[in-house]
Amino acid sequence: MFKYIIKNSFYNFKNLYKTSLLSYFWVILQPLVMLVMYTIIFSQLMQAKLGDLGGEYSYALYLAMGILPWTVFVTAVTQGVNGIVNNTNYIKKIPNPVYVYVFQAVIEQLFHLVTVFSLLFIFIFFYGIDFSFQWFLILIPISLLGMLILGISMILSPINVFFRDVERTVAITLQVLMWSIPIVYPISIIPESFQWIILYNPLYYYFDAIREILLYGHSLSVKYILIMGVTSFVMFFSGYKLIKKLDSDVRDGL
Amino acid sequence: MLEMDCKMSPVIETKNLTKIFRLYHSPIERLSSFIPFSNNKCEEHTALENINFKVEKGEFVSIIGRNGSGKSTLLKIICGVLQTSSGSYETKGKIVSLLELGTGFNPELTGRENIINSARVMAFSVKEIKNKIKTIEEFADIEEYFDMPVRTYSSGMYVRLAMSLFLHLEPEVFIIDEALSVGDIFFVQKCFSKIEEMRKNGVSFLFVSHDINLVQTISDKVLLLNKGKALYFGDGNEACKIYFDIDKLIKPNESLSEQQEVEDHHDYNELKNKKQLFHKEGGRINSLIIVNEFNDQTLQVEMTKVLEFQIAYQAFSSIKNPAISIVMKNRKNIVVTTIIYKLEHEKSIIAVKIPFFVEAGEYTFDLIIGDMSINSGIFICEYKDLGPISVLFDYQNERAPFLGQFGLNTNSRNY
Repeated sequence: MFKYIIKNSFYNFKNLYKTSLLSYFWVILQPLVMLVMYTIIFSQLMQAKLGDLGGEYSYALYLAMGILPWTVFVTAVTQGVNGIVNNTNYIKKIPNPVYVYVFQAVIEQLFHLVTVFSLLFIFIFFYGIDFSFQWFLILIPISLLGMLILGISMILSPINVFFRDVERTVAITLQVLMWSIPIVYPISIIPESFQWIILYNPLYYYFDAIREILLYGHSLSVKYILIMGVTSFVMFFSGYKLIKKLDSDVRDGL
Repeated sequence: MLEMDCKMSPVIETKNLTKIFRLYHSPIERLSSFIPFSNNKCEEHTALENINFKVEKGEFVSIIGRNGSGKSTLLKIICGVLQTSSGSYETKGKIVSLLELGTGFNPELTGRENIINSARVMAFSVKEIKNKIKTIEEFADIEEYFDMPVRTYSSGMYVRLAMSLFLHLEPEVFIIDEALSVGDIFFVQKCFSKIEEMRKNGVSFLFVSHDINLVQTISDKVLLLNKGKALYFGDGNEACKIYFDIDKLIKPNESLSEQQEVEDHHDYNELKNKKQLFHKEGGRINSLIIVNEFNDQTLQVEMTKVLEFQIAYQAFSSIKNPAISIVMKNRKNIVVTTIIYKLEHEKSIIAVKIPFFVEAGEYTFDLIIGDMSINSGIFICEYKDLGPISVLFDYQNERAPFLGQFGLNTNSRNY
């Protein structure tokens, strides 16, 4: 089954941009535009507000490390939550459990990480940061993030079949989430008395971990691994349980 | 010995299979059903009730029944896309269903790419399909379109491509539904000869169709469903007979006691339980009996043979030119022909002999009494959608006197 999912998501991904001229370039074009816009607005126009980013690194690099993975996160969650609804005609015809299609929808989007991170590494070399073996540590937050996305999708996608309100709510929530954690701004600009709001949000640690490793060259602290690990595993397995339980109802409801 | 074993074990077997759908009228109702101890307001609809049947290796089993009788639900359960509410079923080997026709087809990919893509989505061996792609290409016979994006296909080409793939997947059980009726007769015939070949190789078939004629000629066994219940499972001819009599079985005539004395032969009347529409005063249709050449009452006729319509009517002198018309319609609701005869005021029965030089299939007819002018007239009273009459022909094994909708009266000479 796992082989089936991977194979199909890979070919779906391959056929995604079959008839567009720019093909895979579209994947990075959107975050690239965002990157340029935010850089102009924040580092040029609102410079004073930003404060210290940790010395020699520019805001653009800081932003890229947040916003590139974030866009993948957003599309993967959106596609994952719609994973059942969008694949109705498969589910109605092929006797695979429904979670297969949620997995496919998410993994198809996660392939974008490859393109996005290649872009990121070009950036990093451009800024003259030297390669270090510690970089491989980002595989931990990234794979745990993937598990989290799968978990969220498996919880919400079957509910979305019965209540379409879910997909709208998710779209809005994702917008709010982006601004509620430091994706485009550094945490230092938040008054210390309010920082706990961010620190209690598990999502913060996934995106901060990527910066910790790539930008600051730190290792991953146990605290980070624990928070991410527990969140991801709890979400993943409760999602898996739920979607299996609702399988039959989902089919009847489609 | 091995062969014996195979024959003994059915490839599909259901035991008291039941499917109940829960229907919610609004999302709020559904939401409240999640809350424990709330009084659950959902409506339950029993789509299938205690279905027992089996398909042996190499057998051709058909499922018939009116719309809404549960045929599709049963197929979906057997394919595994729906789950049962209670009861069980067992299947052996790979099942391919034409319900899946065209699944995994991506309009941007070419026919060739789609064949591979579709096989992968349906979890069939891509390697095997790659080996067979030449045969599939030949079978589909869509020439240069095979290497063009599927979005440029006509719907006929689409079905040809999909069918060609499906017929070469080599499953143990093959489920066919109405999809087969698309495509021209030559392609359909090609499919049937392929099906015949597969059947000889031990593939079992489950066939759903409204084409009773076809079901009768092709099946080993027939399962007759009505409103979720299995009315009959076994011999095809018997099942088809019951199918046409479902109304009589289900609705016992409530007013029988009053009417019985009046017209005893009304029991055999085709107009029973139908409603006469009156547009104007002046006439009425009393009864209709349809018999074949042996004077047996029937609604089935062999192609080119005759049915006699015996119509009892009343036409009063207020109608100037009373006439009766029988409007035959095929299953696409297209008027095939209208037969018009003049009626006489004082007579009360007309017998119309109709030779059925039409394509095999089902035909319904309207019966109308009207006041006739040249080619039109005023409707006095009518019965709508009577029948269906099934015209039978074994296109597989017998040479048809004509192909297409009608048989024209033709002659030929050799010089």
